[in-house]
Amino acid sequence: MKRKFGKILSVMLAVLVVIACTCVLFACHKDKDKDRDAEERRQSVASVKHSILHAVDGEWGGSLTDEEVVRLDNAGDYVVAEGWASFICDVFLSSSLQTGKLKTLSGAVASEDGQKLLADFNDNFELLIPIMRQADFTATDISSLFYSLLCSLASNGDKTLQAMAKRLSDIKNMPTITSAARANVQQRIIDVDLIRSNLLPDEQEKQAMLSAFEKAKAPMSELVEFAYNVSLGSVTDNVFDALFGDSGALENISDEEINTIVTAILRNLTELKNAFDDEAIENMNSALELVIANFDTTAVTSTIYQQVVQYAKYTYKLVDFIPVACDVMYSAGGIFADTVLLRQLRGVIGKELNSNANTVNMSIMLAKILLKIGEDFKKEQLLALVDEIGVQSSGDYQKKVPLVAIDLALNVSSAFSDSSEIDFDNFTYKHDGILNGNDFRLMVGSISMTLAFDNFKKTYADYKNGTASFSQLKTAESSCNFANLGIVNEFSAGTEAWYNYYTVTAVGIINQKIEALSGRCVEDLKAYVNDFYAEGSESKALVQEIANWSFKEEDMPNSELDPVVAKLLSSDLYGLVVLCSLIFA
Amino acid sequence: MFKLAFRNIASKPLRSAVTVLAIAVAVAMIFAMLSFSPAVYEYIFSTQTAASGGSDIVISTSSSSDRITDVTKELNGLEGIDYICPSLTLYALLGNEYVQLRGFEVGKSEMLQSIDVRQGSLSGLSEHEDDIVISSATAEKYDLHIGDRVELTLGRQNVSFYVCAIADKSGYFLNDAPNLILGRIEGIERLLTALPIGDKICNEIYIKAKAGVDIDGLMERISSMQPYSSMLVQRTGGSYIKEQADSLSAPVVLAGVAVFALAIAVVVLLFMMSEGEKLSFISKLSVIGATKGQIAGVFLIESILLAMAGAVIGSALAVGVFVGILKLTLSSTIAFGISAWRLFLAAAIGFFSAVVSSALPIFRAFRGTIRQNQLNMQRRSRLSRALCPILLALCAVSVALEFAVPSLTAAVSVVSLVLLLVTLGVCVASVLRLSARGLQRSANPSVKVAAINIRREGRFSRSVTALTVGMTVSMLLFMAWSLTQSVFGDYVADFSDLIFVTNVRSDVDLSRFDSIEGVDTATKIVWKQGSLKGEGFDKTMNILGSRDALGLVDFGYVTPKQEVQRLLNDDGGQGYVFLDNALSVLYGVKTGDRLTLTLDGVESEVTVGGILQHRLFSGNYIVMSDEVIAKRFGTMVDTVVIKADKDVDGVANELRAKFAANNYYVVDVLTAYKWEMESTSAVFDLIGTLAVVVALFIFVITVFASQAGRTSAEKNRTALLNAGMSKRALWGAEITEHCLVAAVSLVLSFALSVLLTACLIHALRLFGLYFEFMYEAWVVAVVGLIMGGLYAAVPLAFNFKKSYSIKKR
Repeated sequence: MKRKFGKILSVMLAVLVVIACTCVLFACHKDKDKDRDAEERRQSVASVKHSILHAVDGEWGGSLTDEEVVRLDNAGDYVVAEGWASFICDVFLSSSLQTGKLKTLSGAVASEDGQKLLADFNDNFELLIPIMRQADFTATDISSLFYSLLCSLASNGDKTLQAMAKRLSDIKNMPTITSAARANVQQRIIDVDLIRSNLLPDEQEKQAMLSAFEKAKAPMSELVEFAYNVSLGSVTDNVFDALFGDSGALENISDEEINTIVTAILRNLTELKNAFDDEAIENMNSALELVIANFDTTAVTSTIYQQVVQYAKYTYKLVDFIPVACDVMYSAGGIFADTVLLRQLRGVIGKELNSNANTVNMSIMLAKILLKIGEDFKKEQLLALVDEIGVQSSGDYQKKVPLVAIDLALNVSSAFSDSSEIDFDNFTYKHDGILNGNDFRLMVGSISMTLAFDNFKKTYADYKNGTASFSQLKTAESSCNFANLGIVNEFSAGTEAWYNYYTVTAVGIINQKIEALSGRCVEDLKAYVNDFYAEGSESKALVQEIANWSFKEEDMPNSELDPVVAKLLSSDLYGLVVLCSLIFA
Repeated sequence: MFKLAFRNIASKPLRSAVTVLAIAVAVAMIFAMLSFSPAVYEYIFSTQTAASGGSDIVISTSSSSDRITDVTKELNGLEGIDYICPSLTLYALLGNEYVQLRGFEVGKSEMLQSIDVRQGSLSGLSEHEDDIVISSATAEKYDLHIGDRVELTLGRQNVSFYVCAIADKSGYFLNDAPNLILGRIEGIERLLTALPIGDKICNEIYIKAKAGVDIDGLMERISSMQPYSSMLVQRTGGSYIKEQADSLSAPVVLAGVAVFALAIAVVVLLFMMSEGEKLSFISKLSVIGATKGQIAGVFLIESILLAMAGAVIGSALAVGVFVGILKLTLSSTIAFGISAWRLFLAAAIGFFSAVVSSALPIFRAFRGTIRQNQLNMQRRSRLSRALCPILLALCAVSVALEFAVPSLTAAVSVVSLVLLLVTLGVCVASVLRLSARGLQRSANPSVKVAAINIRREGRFSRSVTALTVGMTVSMLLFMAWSLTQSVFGDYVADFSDLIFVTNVRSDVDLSRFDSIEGVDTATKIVWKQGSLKGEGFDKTMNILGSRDALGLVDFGYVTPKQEVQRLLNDDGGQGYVFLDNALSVLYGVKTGDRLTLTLDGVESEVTVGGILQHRLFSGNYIVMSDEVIAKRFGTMVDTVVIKADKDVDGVANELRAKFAANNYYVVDVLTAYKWEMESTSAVFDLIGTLAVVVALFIFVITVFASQAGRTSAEKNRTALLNAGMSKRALWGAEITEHCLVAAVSLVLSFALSVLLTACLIHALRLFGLYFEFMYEAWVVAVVGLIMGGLYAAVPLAFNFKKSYSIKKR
């Protein structure tokens, strides 16, 4: 009996042990998966960091020790770049990006194109979207990363700079440091101290920023996603290839299917617009103003940092116009409901045509869009829209540029109507009583300056640290077209005073001038609207005539271009066609 | 009396255990046969409605409608709708194989079915539009883990996704052929176009109606709305599921009749095993003055106790074993319902069979004298002597009617089936005794003794009856399994050189296919299902809509081929359709008959233009002209069938490569039907497993029953040993007994299996299934040889020799 009991007990114990082992094995297996995932993430992000640094300097790597760093002549540059790279990679690591995507990203940035882009962002900007696509980034990923980067800037920017400063100091004190490295480190210590003293928000400001970002998160995400989606490849290529292409999943797409897709895209526009009610616009503006105020500096050398701030500034310029733009785009998109037009477009799309034919086709589309907008909006609505644009664009000059650009485009026709060259001094405006004398110069100047000013500031920073020449600085200065804005800088070129005159004094003068100009532009635009809606409107008749042209399905010889251009110039569409060509080219 | 009953049970533990086990097995087998058809239906229903889940209506695209649509404001605002679930379903290539992609809006992925996550988390679907959920089968097949990147191709679009969860084979994943991948519409639509459309488009809209709403009325209102007027608006589920389930379960349901009878027979036989002892015991009780009532009471109590134990254990066994088999073969995740009334019925049948069987010896005892009972003198009554020839005559008549009178074939075949089995059971003992008589002349003492024992002892009659009937029923079950597989799968081999190209537009240019190397012919065809109604039938049919369909398949022609082709080419407005001979045989359909065909929701009258012959779709096909289909039903060609004149895989790959930009789905027919057969193959496994389990049970019961009966012959064996027979010789005699029983069983079962298979095939006509006679001799032979061989080896396996003793115990 005893022996039997003993046997039973042994068996039970053995079973318990087996069960326990199984449970432990299972738990370990589950934990193993998590650990493996975490390790893969770390490795991928480390690889991204290495690629970011390697792109800047072939001798740099992701994790150089202090002993290795002191041997570099640009040791200080390395420490700063490594600090910012770590900052950005920490954001990647803690993001909700799938681990597989981080692996893909590490491959994308290590590729030839990736290294090119990271080495010189501005020159290789066109590689950004393809690389993001290569890394499988979706619109949600981009918006989520953008938001995380902003928040991290606010909350961890100071820690990053502190760590940089400490490491620079440690390296400077190392006995094995070379003299070149020491000098470089010393310079970077000054830069970092400058940033820390001027740039970093205090705790209260941090909380204010984070709170502003939180409020602006929804509209910001919508906008970033929309922008990313629209920028995937060339808009025209994707739109027309997708809608009218003769291959793919929707081969021989029917008119109704096109309608379904266009309706879906237009509903996205509606959602975007709905995300930008007054409160959202206000929140966005607050958040973006804080970003620009606190982080806009050339002292930070990280390319990605610079790009984030740059996009914030672009967005700041445009955010007020988003609801209006959505309304107009929605109306414009409605032309695809016209099956006759669709059939005409099918004959044209996909063909490689010369610029003359493309110009004609673009003009026809533009004319049809304008007519559609004219149908969908009453005169009073458009006038109110223009007034709203004028109101919303109050503030600094950057916000006025879109308004000025549209008015300029409309006035280009007047500029070229008498001759093939623009005579800035003897310029006849269509609405002479509204715009006068120098307004055209001002328009051209304000747009040039807006486009070129950031580059000018960057070039100056490069000039100061010896990586840009004086002639490059002068070229950057002339691109800003200060002369057209009536700005004359009497300080010696290249000096601090000369730079400060532009960035402080000139900006103030320009703000005043463009403020006044924008008022006139609003009135001028309203006059164009009135012309269009007038009884027996010649303006509308001309647009109608262009809209009725046949699409060019073959190349158009130069000999046939002149009458086309003449018609465009007489219809005020010329400038808009040029503007659209620049945007969609 | 209770005490006596208990003592009787306890005095023969082995026999009591075997009896209880036999009743339990009988209950389990009866329950399995009663529940088989509903279980198959539940399984087919779950897999066929895997995509639609709890919805009532589905709006989907057709070959003549747009390929994409959206949920309009009007649909959203329609009264009577509980919820709307749009989805985008596409087929894309993962490597070289097609997978099925299905996208839902954010937060709606579990609206139709729940997803049982095995690894990972569904939260990825809400967070990332490029996250996907795959089944564990897909994960295993492509060696995928959580977080892995998956690149899919559709046309010229290559899009990446990331695995966020791996799910069990349940819900949507019950239909995982081709492998299903779930995601978000936003992510999946990137395969359609490089334009970011968001989650606004779809190609299927699932609708759940509110309780009490008239679904047909709702469907009509939806069909009248733009853009759904050109789309397919259908009920989810559909009658085809019932047809498919019935067709699959038909052979087993029929064989189940035999199993049913066998189960009862086993119980009866088992009680008859102990008849001799009971008679002797009854006589002893009578001698000491027990009344008939008291005697009956004792045995009734005993049998009730045994029957109840058997019924209870059998119920547990039934549920456990049957559900276990269902989980093992069909699906481990479907919750198969256990019908309480079927369980009760099975238990009740087992119980009452046992009680009634136990009463038979008592009845015989009361008829005989005390002396007759004591000596266990079996007097075969005149009736029992005449039973064999009567049954044989009845069988002959039934079989003759079955084969000679076509209109009675189906109905009479069931009678023949039962009669043949009963006749076998009744007459096999006589055949055994006859065989034994022949062997009695042998000089070998073992053989002689064996022959004498067989002729004298009643237990051999019972053993041979149990084994023969059991073997025959097992053969029948295995034939049913083989039949089901052949019927639903064999014809596919005829199409091994065919390739389907789907997702084509009706105006596709065939010359683009002809120019590809390896393509012999390219035929545009409408390949769909419709429902055909006629007198006495309403069936779902597979439509081969092409004037060139005759060239695709090697049809047999009841109507001359030229006539069929002529009418296909020149319809004359008659709407000619060409049907299989099966419909002529089953329902009397003939040339010139007017029938009603419904296709894509449109009903039209058609005329039978001719009769063809092929095993294609078990005869459930219609050949008709694509022009007629377009005119009468508005359904356009949606498929190109390619006949390859060389390596099919190579040609398919070439087609895929050439038409990569066009998003044609190119799949060889065998693969397409592998997807189609994915769910039914599980049913084949179920039938096969059931056949094995039933055969095993029958065999075990037969063996144990014969061993239980063997104990009564111990005196005899002792006497032989005492008389000088060696243990070896005695062992030889027992081996000979078993061999003879096995041999007789095998020969008779094998011989009768041909006739029984014919009866089974004829009986399938009652289910609307018509087949030519088919017989797999190897299946029958293997079953018979295994069962017979194992039975013959019992004396060796149980080492009877060891138990021989010359001392009386």
